[in-house]
Amino acid sequence: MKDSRLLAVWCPDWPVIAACTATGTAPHVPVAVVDGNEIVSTSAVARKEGIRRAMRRRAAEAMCPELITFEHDPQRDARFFEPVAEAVEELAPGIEVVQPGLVAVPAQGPVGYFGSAEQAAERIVDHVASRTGTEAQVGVADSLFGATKAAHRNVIVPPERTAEFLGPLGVHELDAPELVDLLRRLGLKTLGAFAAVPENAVASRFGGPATRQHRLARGLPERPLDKRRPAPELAVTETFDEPVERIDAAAFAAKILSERLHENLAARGLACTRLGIHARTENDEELGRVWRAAEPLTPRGIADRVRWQLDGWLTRERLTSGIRTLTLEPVEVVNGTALQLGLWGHDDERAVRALLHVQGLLGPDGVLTGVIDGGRGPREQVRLVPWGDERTPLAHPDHPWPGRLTRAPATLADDPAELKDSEGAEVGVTGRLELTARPKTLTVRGRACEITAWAGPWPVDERWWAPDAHRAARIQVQTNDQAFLLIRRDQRWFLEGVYD
Amino acid sequence: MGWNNPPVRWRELERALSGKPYEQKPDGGDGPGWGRHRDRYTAPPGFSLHADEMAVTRKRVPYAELHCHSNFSWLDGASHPEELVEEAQRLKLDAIAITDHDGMYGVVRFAEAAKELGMHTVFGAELSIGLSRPANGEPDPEGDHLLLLARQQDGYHALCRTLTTGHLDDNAEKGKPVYDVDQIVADTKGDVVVLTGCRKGTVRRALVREGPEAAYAEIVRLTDLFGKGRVYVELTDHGLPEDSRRNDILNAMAQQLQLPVVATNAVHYATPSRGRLAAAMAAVRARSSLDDMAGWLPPSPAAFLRSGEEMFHRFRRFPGAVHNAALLGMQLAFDLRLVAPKLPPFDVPRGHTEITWLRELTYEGARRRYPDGDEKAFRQIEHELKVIEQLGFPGYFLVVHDIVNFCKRNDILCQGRGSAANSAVCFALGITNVDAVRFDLLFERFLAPARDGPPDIDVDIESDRREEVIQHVYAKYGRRHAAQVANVITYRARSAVRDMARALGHSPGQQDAWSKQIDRWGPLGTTTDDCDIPRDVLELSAQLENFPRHLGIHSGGMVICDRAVSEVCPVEKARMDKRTVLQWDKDDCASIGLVKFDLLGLGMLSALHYAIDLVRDHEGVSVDIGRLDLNDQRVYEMLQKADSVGVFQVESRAQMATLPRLKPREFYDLVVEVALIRPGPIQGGSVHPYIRRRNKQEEWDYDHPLLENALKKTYGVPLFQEQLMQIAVDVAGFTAAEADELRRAMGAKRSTARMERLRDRFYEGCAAQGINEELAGRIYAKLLAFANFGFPESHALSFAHLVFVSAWFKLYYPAAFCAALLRAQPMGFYSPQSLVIDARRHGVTVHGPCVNRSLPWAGLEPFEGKNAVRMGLSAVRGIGDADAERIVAAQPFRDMEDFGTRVQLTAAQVEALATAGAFSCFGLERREALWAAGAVAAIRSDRLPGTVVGVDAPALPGMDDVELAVADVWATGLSPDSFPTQFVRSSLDSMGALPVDALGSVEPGTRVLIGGAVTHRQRPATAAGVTFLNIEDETGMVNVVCSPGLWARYRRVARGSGAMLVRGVVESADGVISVLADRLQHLDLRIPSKSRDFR
Amino acid sequence: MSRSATASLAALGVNPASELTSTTTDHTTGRVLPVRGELAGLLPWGGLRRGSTVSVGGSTSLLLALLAGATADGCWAAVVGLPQIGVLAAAELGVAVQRLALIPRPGSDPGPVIAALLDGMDLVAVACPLPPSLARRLTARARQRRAVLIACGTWPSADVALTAESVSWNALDDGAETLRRQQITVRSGGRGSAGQAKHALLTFGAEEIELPLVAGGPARSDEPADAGPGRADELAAKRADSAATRRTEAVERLVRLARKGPSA
Repeated sequence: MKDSRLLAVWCPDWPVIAACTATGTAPHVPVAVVDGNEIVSTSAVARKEGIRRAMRRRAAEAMCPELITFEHDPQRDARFFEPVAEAVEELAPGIEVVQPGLVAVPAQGPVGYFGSAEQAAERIVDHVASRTGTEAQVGVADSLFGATKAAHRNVIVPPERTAEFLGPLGVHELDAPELVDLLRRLGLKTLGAFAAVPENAVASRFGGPATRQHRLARGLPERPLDKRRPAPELAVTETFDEPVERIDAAAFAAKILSERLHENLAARGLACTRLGIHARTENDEELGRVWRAAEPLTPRGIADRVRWQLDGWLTRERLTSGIRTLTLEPVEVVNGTALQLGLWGHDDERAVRALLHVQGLLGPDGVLTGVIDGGRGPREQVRLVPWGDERTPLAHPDHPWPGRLTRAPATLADDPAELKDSEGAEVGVTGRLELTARPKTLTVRGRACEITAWAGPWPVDERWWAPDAHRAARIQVQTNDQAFLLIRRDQRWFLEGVYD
Repeated sequence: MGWNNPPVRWRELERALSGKPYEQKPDGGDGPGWGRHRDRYTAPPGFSLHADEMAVTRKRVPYAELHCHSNFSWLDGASHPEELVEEAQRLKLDAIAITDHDGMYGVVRFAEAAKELGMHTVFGAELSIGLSRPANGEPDPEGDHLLLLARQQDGYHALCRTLTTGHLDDNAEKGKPVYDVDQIVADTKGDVVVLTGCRKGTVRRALVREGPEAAYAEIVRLTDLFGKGRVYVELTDHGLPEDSRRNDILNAMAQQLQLPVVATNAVHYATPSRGRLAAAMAAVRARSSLDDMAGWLPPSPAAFLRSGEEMFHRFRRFPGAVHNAALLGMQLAFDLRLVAPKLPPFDVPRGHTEITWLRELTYEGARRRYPDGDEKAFRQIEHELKVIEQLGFPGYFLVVHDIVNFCKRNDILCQGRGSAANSAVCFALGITNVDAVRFDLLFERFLAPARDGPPDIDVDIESDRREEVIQHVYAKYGRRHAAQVANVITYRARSAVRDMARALGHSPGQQDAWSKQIDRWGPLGTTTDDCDIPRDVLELSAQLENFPRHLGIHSGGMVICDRAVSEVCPVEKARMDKRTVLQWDKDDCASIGLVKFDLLGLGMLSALHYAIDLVRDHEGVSVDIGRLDLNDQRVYEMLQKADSVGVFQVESRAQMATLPRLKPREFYDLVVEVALIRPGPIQGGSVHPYIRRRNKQEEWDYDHPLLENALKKTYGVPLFQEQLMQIAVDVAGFTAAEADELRRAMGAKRSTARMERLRDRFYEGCAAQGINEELAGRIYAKLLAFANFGFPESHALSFAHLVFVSAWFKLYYPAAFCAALLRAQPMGFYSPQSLVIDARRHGVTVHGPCVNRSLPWAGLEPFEGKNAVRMGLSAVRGIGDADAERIVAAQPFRDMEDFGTRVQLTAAQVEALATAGAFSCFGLERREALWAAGAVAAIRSDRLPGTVVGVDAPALPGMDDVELAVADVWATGLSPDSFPTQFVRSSLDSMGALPVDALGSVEPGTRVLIGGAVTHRQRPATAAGVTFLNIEDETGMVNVVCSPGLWARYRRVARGSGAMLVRGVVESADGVISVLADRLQHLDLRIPSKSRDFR
Repeated sequence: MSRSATASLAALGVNPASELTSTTTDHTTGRVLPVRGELAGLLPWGGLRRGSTVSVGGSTSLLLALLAGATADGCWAAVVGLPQIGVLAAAELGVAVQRLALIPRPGSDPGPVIAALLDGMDLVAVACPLPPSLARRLTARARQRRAVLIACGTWPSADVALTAESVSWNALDDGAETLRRQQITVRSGGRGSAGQAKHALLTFGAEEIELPLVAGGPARSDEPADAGPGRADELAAKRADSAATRRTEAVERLVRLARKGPSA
């Protein structure tokens, strides 16, 4: 049992802390992080207002209208947690991140070094606070579940007494709401009472998944210890021609590598439960971190953790250069059951490398790609994003967008223009959506030409409910040898495109 | 229940009744005298009817808009029908059509406005063909549109017929008519004109999807179907790039086929300013937000009404199209002056006419009612029969008699309510149980020669069986001849704010918070100041307010006709099975002259029926509620103590606070109690003049001796509408019919010419009686003040009878009464938990559900020499009525295994039964049963007995009383044998908190501490922001008064806590005790309780 | 690329075009990238041969049309130095924009950028002015990396030069109609086998529906069929006006009658 003793470092309300740090939100306002419609984390002030985890967002906002909510963002949680993890690591090498906000480390090391668990806990808490300004709590026990619950209470559980420590805690400490509800109605209100039920009775009454919760309640590790050491050749490594400095550029490499690792494992019927992520920068800085997961990692789970970790490293100020090599190493594996499908579509790696290279030369914004978006005008319908960013449309390009132009100009423009009638007066658009007169001449950049034909106006009053509201009207005009798209906004005409 | 206390502007009434100057303000209640009623259309102020000077002073292009949706296209139109007519008039159109989706929902209002403004009207509908599901929740509802315009009156009837056919199709459901195109043609051919329609018409759809050939073929198909001269190719131009090209193509096709083209605007709102509202409504319809809908919305607000000149310019490539629209509009226009169908001839025995048969039935009944031959009564009956014959309504009474008879034959409790109780004929026929003659009720309140329609006879029917009565009417008269009246559910301020906030993308929590800031009935314009609702939400909501939201069923109104009512107004399926409903609400029906019968459901009648059955089956006593001794003083003593939980009408917090003051001693006091009680004044410290005078606390005299006749029985305070009429008769010499006219005029609009005339007539009449002008003015002002608040006495009489009967059961058979109330849920003011604890305070034992002893619903069983209540199985969480009936059918069970073998339920259901203790009859602890539930639920019926494993539980902890109560509340919502506060009584004692029943012996003015569960939170509009909390503990309940300041200070606890500690000062007035709170604190009861808040 | 990376990409179904080795014809081997029919006739190889340089002038639409076939077929393209390019028009002309990279501003030293792109992309369009020496080096690099270099404007060593001689659209009409159908007349010329000048007419947009559908008649249902579609606005307006006046009078008579009807 002794070598499974773990020390857990836990930062309370981490998603809220990360969101506040990211947005510069003051700590004394009620804050909650929501996932979909459910509250997943709250600040102490919000709790004082009665906001609780698992509450519906609607109920929480009704209870406390001044509540500030942030969407759940695991990447944000991970990015701001990296400095905390590093601070812990400085005193306790070999830490493993369980989730942003919680790290675990075999207790042996720090306890041996600092003389006692209490000493180690005190030093780690002080160190994290002075390095990152974050409040942390430490717990030690014989299982990860036990150590986590101990950290929630700032407790050092003596060896061999984890079950005893967990015994009086409520069954709600288990993350299984339906089981918890049933256990309570059965009068099994504490982990100890649950633990006392024979294992075979648990299996027959509650079904297989409950036995894992039963193990946790008894202070045992989630899984029976597997002494199998993963073969070293399972690890995968990638070296980049251009050092990776941007997280979006790194995301692609992360995806390739995660996929490869997953394939390696899946081919052997394995799945990874502890994942080592190692990187080397151009200046030969070594970075490394182990992620520990309660459940075997899916390809997406691997890719997420790699992405989060790279985000944490790349946004860290200390890094002096880009990452040149990246290695994923399965630290602990279990028998994988379902073979997951691949992650993403078909990207041509040769082209991708070339574009990464050019981004290295010109900066990330030097290479753009057009995402076809929903909208009506030629500009709204295309969003240029740095290459490597998500290609998700903001609006729905497949919706009908009534009033969308039939044809888009091959060349875009944005120049003030003048449109005059035969009397030389400016042509306008009325409140009932008509032109005030027939257009006769078009002047752009001082050059005037005679209009031979025109069509429109086609008015738009779009997104009037949003800050980016705009009203406009478009017309197409033809001269002897050219065709133009004009738009009128704020009482002025502009050349929007040339049909060349 | 449908009978809430209308909010009375107390100060105004008090002022007027006390002889102070009267300030009239519009009232928004919904009681009988002040029903939410749509007044006849009048042009808005400042709207000038133009004198038509066309073609004289300037060139004018004729144009008629033939494709026009009102907001009765259900979230697909953003102007009222009246607004469309007004704008059409302003633009000087020659005619305007109304073409809502699949119905004639708005035609009555449209026609009324058009008549007033002199606009020509065309009627049509846009049929949605090929819907596979209702259109709500879809960004772009599927289905092809077919736009049909009626050719004159016959076309209108044909359209109604085919709309009804579509809506009543076997596969149709609410919001999803199913049409057969051949049937449409058969129903309408020759009587309608077809426009090829908008974007979703078949022609344009074919053009977009399959190209010009398909569109061409589609036009040909339409002409084949409807006839060549009946199809018009529709051109619209909404300023979209593709519009002109498409119009070119359609125009060319029309030319080749030699069909006329017509220009339309496919109008969805009167003016461009409503375009944004239309977009927001589209988001609501799609149950989406504007952001998500952006790609479906039109680019600009173009679907508005345009003038002939605008259209001529817009369609300058096709000038003929504009002229054709004007021509066609003039050809199709007609006035919707529908001949209201009559009642069907009533089936009378040979040799009888309707009136002779009615006479016979009436006298037969009268002889039963008045065995001694009351001369006055028979005189009155003869008088009434004459009026009925003269007005031609005998058939109407026969229909109602038939309905009541059906109820009696089938043992369904029912009674006439409302003004029918003013009729001796109704009493004789058994329609009502109130003796109009004995109580001197005014027949003319019910039926007067001057009235322009048949009377309302409302029948209350026990709610659990009302459906049988409704189905009887359908069966007797047929689905095309009888239909229920619709209730147009309109947007109120709150729902408007909620929907607009959602459309604009605000979170559900914000929607809730904002809509709660809006006063329930207040118009949005008045609530803009002190709220944090964003401007755009408020602006759109204000426009949306009063828009129709969806069609409901009026609570029981049925129309019966001698010919197919479906040809006057389309009939459609209601959401409820086997119901069919008209597309018009009661005002529309009244405007057209359709005869309506109200069959209303009343939960208390169900409860009384159950109580009668239980007393008969378990006590061996047969109760005839028509023959109870109405002078039973024990009943009045009980009510004087405000011991009235569960009693009809007088159980509410406000009523309970009045009973000890009013001290009812006789039946008529109950009549007054029902009519009088309004929450505000009683709690607010002011006392109604009636109570002051009844209790001889106030000197008073009549303003004039002539008032005595009318006001004597209510101590000079006018309470009833009948009194208003009587005063007009007595002091101003009105006839009864004139008096009724005055009552109705005062209750409705006040500035009409009719009102002027009646007032002059009143003053003249007073002068003739020697009443000077000043006094006449004062009396008139009082009548006016009270006209809006007065309650029909006949109605109060009907209800007072139910008050007495329910109180009688509560007093003599409390167990049966409790079981009956539980079975009739949901109803009444109190939760089942409160009803049960009240029964327990009266010595009744209540048992939880049991799989062997329970019925599906609450019943009685012998226990310790008395009858105890046994809760029903359907009270258990997750057990539906059908499940409960399956269990009861399989009773008895030997053990859980036997149960599991013979009743298949889910694990969660068996677990819920176990948690409720329903297996205790097998000698099992609840937790043992709960453990076994997992295995028991898994038993399949084909399994060998005795082979189930996992039934025997390991050692599980026993349950203490609190845990048992928690389990009860979890499983059934109530704890039958405990109240949560009793478990914390010792700690309450140690804090110095008093039980509620000890407050009576505390000196008023003393500061006390009490603790209990909150059963109600109420903030009556009349109480100036004061909130009332009803706090209940194991000993009783008490009213807690919270000032606005206190409420704000303890907002979190006040709003959110299910139970609380209240510190405050005891107040007592005439035996009514309340606590004026000065501190609220959360109280943790460990057992959850639910409060009925702000209903 | 590491072996394992290639393997994983192959497993995903991605086959880098440059590694295909089939030898039947240039088209099937991927040595020639596909272009739409009319353009194929202008190019000596019936498509864009890998390693070649093609110059394009006179129409942005022509440039985009040239990229369409190949990108739709899975090739990658980059456009350098054309910040105003209409990506939506590109999509309309058939370009697979998810494989179109834009380098609007390649900087003061565009050489390395373009060279890097030629290493990885199948087509690289260059619209920034370059010194002739650099242009020649890039042409050589394209040949070496088997990429297609498309030069916007003149280019010293282009294999083929395509020039749009005219760009025309369907006619707009007095507020009606919309630009739907584009026609580009293209001339090709160049070195070697491409030396012979050729012409082609490119048409983009839906097939025209012949209006009016009735032979010889105008698209006006209320007028005699005597005016052709090409008449001047003034004439149309005048006609419409006189027709309108006639109609107005007739309708107004009817309206007056109808109004009298029910009330009289």
